[in-house]
Amino acid sequence: MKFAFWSTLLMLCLVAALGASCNRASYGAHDKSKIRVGIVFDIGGKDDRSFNASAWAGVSCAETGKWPDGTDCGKPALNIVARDIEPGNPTSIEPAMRAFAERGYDLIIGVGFAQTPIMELVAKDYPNIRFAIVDGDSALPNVALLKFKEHEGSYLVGMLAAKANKTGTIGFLGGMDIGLIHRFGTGYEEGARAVKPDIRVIKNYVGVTDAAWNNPGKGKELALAQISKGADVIFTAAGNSGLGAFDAVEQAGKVDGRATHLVIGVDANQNMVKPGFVLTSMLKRVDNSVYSIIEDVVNGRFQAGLHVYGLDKDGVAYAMDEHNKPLITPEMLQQVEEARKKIMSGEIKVTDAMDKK
Amino acid sequence: MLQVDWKYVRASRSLRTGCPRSQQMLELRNITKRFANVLANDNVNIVVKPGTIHAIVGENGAGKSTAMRIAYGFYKADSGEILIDGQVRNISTPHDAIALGVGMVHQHFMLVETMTVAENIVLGAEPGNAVALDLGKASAEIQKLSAEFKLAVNPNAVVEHLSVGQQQRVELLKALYRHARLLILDEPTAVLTPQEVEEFFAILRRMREQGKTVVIITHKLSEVLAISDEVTVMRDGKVVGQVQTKETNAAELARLMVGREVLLRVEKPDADIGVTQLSVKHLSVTHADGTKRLDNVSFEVHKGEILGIAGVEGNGQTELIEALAGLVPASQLSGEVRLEGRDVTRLDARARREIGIAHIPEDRHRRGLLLDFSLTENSILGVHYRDALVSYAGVFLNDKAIRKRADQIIAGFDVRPANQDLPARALSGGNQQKLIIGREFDLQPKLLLVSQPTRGVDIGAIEFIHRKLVALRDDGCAVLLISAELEEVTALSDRLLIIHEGRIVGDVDPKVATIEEIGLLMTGSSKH
Amino acid sequence: MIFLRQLLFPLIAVIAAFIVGGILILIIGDNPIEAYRLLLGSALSWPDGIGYTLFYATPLIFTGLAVLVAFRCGLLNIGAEGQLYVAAFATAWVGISFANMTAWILLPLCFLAAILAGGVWGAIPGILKARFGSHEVINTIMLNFVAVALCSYFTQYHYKNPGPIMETTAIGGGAHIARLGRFVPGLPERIPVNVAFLLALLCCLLVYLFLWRTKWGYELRATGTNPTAAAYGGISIRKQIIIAMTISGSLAGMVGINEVLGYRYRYYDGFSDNYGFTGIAVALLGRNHPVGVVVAALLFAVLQRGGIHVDGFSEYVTKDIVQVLQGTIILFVAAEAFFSGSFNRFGLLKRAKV
Repeated sequence: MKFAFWSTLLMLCLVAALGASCNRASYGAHDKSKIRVGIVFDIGGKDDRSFNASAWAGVSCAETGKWPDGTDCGKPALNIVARDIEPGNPTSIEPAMRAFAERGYDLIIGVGFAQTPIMELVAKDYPNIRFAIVDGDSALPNVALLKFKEHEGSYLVGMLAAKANKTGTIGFLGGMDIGLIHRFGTGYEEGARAVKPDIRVIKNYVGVTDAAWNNPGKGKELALAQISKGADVIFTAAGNSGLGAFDAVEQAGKVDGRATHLVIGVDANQNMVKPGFVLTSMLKRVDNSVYSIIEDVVNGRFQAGLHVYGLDKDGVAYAMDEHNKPLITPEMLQQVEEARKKIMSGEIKVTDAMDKK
Repeated sequence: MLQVDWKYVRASRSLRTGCPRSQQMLELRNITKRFANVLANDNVNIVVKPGTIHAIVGENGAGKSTAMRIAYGFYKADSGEILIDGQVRNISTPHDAIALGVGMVHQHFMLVETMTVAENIVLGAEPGNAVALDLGKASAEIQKLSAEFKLAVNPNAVVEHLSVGQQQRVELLKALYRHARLLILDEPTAVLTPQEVEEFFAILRRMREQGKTVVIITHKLSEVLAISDEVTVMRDGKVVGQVQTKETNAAELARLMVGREVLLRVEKPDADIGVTQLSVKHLSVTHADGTKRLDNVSFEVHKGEILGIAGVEGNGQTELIEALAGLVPASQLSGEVRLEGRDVTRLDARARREIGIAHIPEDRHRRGLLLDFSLTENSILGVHYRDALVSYAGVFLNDKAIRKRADQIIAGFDVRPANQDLPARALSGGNQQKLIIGREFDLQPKLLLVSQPTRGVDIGAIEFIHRKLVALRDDGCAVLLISAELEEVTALSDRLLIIHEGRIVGDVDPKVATIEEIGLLMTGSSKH
Repeated sequence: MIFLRQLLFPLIAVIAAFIVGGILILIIGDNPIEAYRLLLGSALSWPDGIGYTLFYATPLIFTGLAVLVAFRCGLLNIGAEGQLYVAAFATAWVGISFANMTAWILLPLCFLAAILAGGVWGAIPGILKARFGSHEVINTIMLNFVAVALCSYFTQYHYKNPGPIMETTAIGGGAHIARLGRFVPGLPERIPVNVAFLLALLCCLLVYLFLWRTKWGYELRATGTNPTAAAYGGISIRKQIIIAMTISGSLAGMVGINEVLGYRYRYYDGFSDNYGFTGIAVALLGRNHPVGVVVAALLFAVLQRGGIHVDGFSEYVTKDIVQVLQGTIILFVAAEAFFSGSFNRFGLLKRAKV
C-alpha cells in the first residue's frame, strides 16, 4: 500500500513537471542580430585565476572591450553576445556544449584538452556551427584548435632563471606528467643552457592524474626538495599545485632584503602572488587567442584547424610589472629581448617536446 | 462496560466547588484529548491542592500520563481548560508550564549523559550572558537546592556515571532549579530499588514540607498508600474517583482502577514437578571488561515447576538469563547448560529458540520489541524464518499466515488496541508486554526464561500474566522466573534461589521462608 | 495520514527551498520566475531536457538506494563514491579484457563485474565493523580515497588510452548497452540515457521487495531499528552488517553500468560528480524509501540539468545558485526530520548512551 502510494505520487509529480515544461524559457540571449558566442569552461571554472580566467578575459574583452574587472582591455568590443557555462563536473560538459548548439550559437569555445572528445561528438552533430578548442586536437572541418608555443615562452623565462641563478642548479615543477607540460620543461631547459651551458635542471611532476593540477601540498614538498638539492629558481607549470612552490620559496626567506630563492609563475601573471619572490611569469595568453578567433568569426574569416600562438602573436610572453622590476636588471632584460626577436625571426629554434613524439 | 463509581466522581466535584479557587495549585477542567482513534482523555477533571502529594493511579493506558503531559504543555488538549493558582492559563509548550512553576520528570530521563550534573541542570536555562556560561553561579545554586531538599548529588559528576536513583535526583534538581512549585513525576519509582524508593519518598516528604506540590503518576498501590495525601483514579481515559488516601485502602483503589474485584494473591495449585528439564552446571559469565558477572552457578529446573530467582537488581540476573537464552558471546561463557540432557552451551539464540527455549526479556524496549515496527512485524520476531511464515521458496514472508498468527496472539493475550498495523511504540507498557508474552508462549516452549514479567504493567495485566505463567507451568513447561518484585517472585515460584554478586547464596521454599529471611540473603548476609 | 505526512514535509521543504532561492535570485538582481522557468523548462523539455534529466537521475537512484539499504540496517554508507569508482573500473576492465566476446557473454560479465566489485568494496568496511567494531563511516571515507587513487593508477599505467586525457581504452562493442533512444520514438540516440535507467527502476522495486517482503529484509531492518532486539530474535548482527554493506556497495556499483556500458564506453578518470555523496541527500530527501529515492533523484537531476542552462542563459544566476538550492532543500528536509520527531524526541539524548 505504501508502495502504491509512493508510485502515485511519483506519477503526479511527473505529470505536473511535464505541464510546467510546456512553457519554454524566454530568457534573453537570443538576439540573433549579433554573433553569439558560448564558452564552456573546464572543471576549474572561470575564476581559477589562471587558464580559464584568461579565456574568460578574452571573451569579456571581445564582448565589452573590458577585462572582467572593468578595466579597458585595449581592444575594441566586437558586437557579440557571449554566454558561459561552468559545467563543474565531467558529465555536464556535453550537455553544456549542446545547450549552446541547440540554440544555434555561432561559435562555441571549449577550454582545455579534456573537452576534445566531447567537442568532436557535438561538432559532428552540428556541422554548421563553428567550434574552437584550447589546447585540443581534432581534424573536423568546423573545429579550430587554439595552441600555444609554450616552449618559446619557457625558453625566455629559462634564460631569466639562469641569469638570476647563483648555485648552478635550477628547478622545474610540472603538474601532470604529459607531453604538454614537457613542452614547458624542455623550452625552459634550453633557454637556461643558452645562458649557462652547464646548468643543472631538476625536473619533477606532481602526478599523473587530473589531481596533479590541484595539490599545492605536494607541490610545496617537491619545491622544498629541489631547494635542498641546490635549486634557487623554480619554474612551475602545475596549475594550482604550483602555488606550493610559491610557499616554499617564501619559506626559504630573504637575506639583506632579497629573496634567496625565486619562483616563476605560469599561464596568468602571478608576479603579485608573492612579490619579491616571483622572478617573472610565463604568460599563456589564452585571452588573445580567444579574442582573435572571435574576431575571425565576426569578420567571416573563421578557419578550422591549427591556430598557433607564439611570441609573434602575443600568444606567450614573460610578465614584467612593478612587482618583479627589482629582480630583473636591464642587462637581463636586454638579453631576453634579443632572444625574443631571434626566436620570432627563426634565428633561434626552440625544441617542441610534443613534436618529438 | 465501564462502570463509573459516581460516589467518587461526585466527591471530587464537591471538592472542586467547595474550595475557593485560589487554593488550587493545578486544576484540569473537562480536558479531552484524542490520538487518532484512541480517546486518551475523556472529559477529565483533576484538582491538585497546594502543598500536597497527589497520586494519579490507573492502569497503563488509562490516560494518566496524557493528562499530566497536557498540564505540562507537552500535548495540547482538544478541549478543556488548565488552571494554575485558580487562573485559566494557556499552556501550549513546556516553556509556558515552566514559567508558571510547573516541572515534570519523565519516566525516561531526559539527560545528556556525557554532560555533568550542573551542565544538565542549567541546560536550557543557562546563567550568565549570551556568550559566557556562568557555571560557578549555577553550581552554588545547585548546592543550595541540594542542601535544602537533601538531594545529595555532586554537581560536577558526569551523568552517565551516576546510578539511576542519582539521575532521578538530577531531574528533580533540574525542575527545582527552574523554580518549580508543582512537580509532576511520571512513574518515578519504576526504576528504583526498594532502598532507593524509601530515600525517594523521604525527599518527596521534604518537598511537601517546603511547600512544594507533587503529583506522582503510578500504578503501585502500596506506594500510593505510603506517600500520597490524595488520590485520583483514572480508567479508560476518564477520572473514576478522587479520594483522600486516609479514607481508602488498596482493595478499593484496585477495584476502582480495574473496575472489578482483583485478586492480589496468586492462586495456584501445587506444582506437579516432573523430570529435570534444564540443568546448569558451573556457569560463569566474565564480562568484556574483565569483571565476573556470574560466578560458578549451578541449578536445575524441572518440568512443571516455576523456579524463582530473587536478588537485588544488578547481581547477575540479567547475565544469567541472557546466557541461557544464547545472547552472551561464547568467549565470555564457561560452564555447561543442558536442556533435556542435551548440551546446548554452544548454541546461538536462534538454535536455542528452535529447541524450545522461549525468553521474555527484562527490558522490552531494548530487547523485546522493535518499537517502530508494527505489531504484526513484532509478533514474528525470532520465528520470522520458519516455514509456516514464509512462502515462495522460503524467501518471502507469508503475509497471510503472519497476520493470522498475529491475530491469534493479539486476541489470545488481549493486546489493546487490537490493531495489527500500529507501531509497537503506540502501545502501553502492559500491552507491549502482553504482545511479547503471547509471542513467546506461541512457541510452546519446553523452557521459559522470564525476567521482570510485570514491570511497568498495570494490575489487571499483572493478574493476567501471572495466570498465564501458572497455566504454562501446569502444561509441563519449566519456567525460570526472575523478578525484582519480591512479592511476585515468592508468590509465583515453587522453589526460590537467591542470587547475590553473581553467586547463588540461598535455596528456600517460598511457602516457608519469610520475607525478612529472603531479604537478608539478598543483601549478602548469610543465615549463619 | 502517516503517508500524507511523509509526502507533505519533503514537498514543503522543496517549496521552501525554492522560495529561499528565489529571494536570493532577486537579491542578485535577476527575475526568479524567469530563472525558474528556464530551470524547469530546460530540464523538462522534450527530448533533450527529459532525456538528460533521466540520465542524471540514474546514478543518483543507484547511490540513493545504496545509502538507503545501509541506513535501514543502521549504517551510514559514505563510501558509495569509492564503491562506484571501483565498480566502474572493474566493468571497464572486463569490457576491455574480453572485448572480443559476444555480447551474450560479455554483457552479463560486465554487469557482474560492476555488481561484484561494488559489493566487495562495500563489504570491506562491513566486515571490518562486524569483526573489529571499527566505525563504518571512517572506513568508507578512507576507502573512497583508496578507490579513486587505485582506479587512477590502473588507468594511467596499464589501460590508458593514448593522449592527454585520463581514460582507458574503449570497451568491446558487445558490452555496449542500448540507449533508450533506440526504443523511444522521438528520443535521439545521442542522448545518453540508457537501459541502466530502467535497471535503476527495477532495483527500486527489488529493494522494496527485499526489505519489506522477505525474511532477509526483515532481519536487516530489525537490526537497523534495534540491534539488541534483533539479536534476541536470533538474528546475527554481524551477518546483517556485512550483508547490508555488500548490497549497498553493489547498488552503488551499478552506477558503473550506466557510466561505462551506457555512456562513455570506457572508464573516464574522475567521472563521478560526487554521486556517492549526493546519494546521501537523495536518500534523506526520499525518506529512505525506494520510491522516495526515485522522486528525490529526479529532483536533483532536474536541478543539475536546469542548472547548466540557468548558468548559461540567465543574466546573473550561476550554477552556484543551483547548489544553494540543493543545499537549502537538504537543510529543510533535515530540519523537518528533526522537528517532526522521526528521529524521535528522545532519541538523540538516548543515543548518547551507546
